[in-house]
Amino acid sequence: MAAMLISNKTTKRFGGLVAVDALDIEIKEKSIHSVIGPNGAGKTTFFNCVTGFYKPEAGDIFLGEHSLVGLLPDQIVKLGIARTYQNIRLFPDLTAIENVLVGMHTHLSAGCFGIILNLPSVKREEKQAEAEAHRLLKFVNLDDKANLLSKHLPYGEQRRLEIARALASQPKLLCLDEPTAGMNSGETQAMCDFIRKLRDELGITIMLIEHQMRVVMGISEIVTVLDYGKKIAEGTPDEIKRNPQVIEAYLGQGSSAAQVH
Amino acid sequence: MREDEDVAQAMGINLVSNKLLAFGTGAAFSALAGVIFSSKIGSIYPHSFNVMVSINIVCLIIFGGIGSIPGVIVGAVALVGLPELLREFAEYRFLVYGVALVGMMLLRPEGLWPEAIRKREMHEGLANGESD
Repeated sequence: MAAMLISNKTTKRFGGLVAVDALDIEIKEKSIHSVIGPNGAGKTTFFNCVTGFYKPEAGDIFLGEHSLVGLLPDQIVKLGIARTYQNIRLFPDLTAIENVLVGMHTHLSAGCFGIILNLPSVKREEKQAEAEAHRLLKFVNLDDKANLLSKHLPYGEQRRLEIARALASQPKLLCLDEPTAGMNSGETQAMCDFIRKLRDELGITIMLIEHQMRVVMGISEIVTVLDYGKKIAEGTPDEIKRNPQVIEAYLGQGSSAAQVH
Repeated sequence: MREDEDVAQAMGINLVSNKLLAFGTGAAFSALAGVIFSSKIGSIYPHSFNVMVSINIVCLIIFGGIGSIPGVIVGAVALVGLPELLREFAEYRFLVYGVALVGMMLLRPEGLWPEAIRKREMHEGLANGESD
């Protein structure tokens, strides 16, 4: 499989703290790749480097042949990377469907004058955009709540709405930051099935930060383990489960593999 | 951009150009208003644009409805047009402005003719009570 995203010795420092240390990762096309590690290992920081919120001090990140370092987040979205956030960041005072419509921004071509003059082409595009937004909401089973304010939605639905909004930009690579945080086992299972559906039906490559081991072991094809910003292991879930360094990073010395199920 | 700047940028909205556009458009409209005002009055000098003008305008926007074009027209008619008709009560003009503002904030904070989004935002509590 071709590589979708390549990170080449990416390093991000905050003053004296090295959050991401010469990280080499290769995300293969159409794979589900998990990045795991104890809290503070640099996972979200790496995501922020990929999506343009932070500029790495050293190293390079490539999406295909495009270098992502130094690009602004709005430019990176146009290249086909979308993300969700660890602490859900929806637009709280907009309705569900309005949130999804904002996500479609990069694909809407109406300019200022067209909007001011209310040209028929702009009206047509708006209708199409609304239909597409409804389709996305249906995909995440939120179509009946399309006109509710996003801050009134329950937690699990807010997470799905955030994913719908990320899908609205038609990404090639979707970065999910702890999608199952705060969910019980039933909801987690539903989210796992949903993530698999995203890859199988839409052909999107998925990069996942997760803490719940059963999610990581259950759906990932490749797992990269970070600790203090460095990559300490990479491989299939089974290989990672048995890796002594990983177990030590998570559980301390002297823990057995059986504890990580 | 107003709700969450970083996320808006992550949705592909170029912050710099959009902010400039918003700022520039607003400035262009006020420049247009200034041109109309000066040709109407016949002569202008900086003294014509003192603080009271700004306060008047903010008052009538709040009264009529922030962000809503019909609202601003209603506000202008009510707070600038009516005083012209009621010349005898000219001294009470600012008193009326004050009372109108306080009254509006208490009874109808979104203004007389608001835009749908503002009405939603202002009546949060009510909506919460109804749907829960």
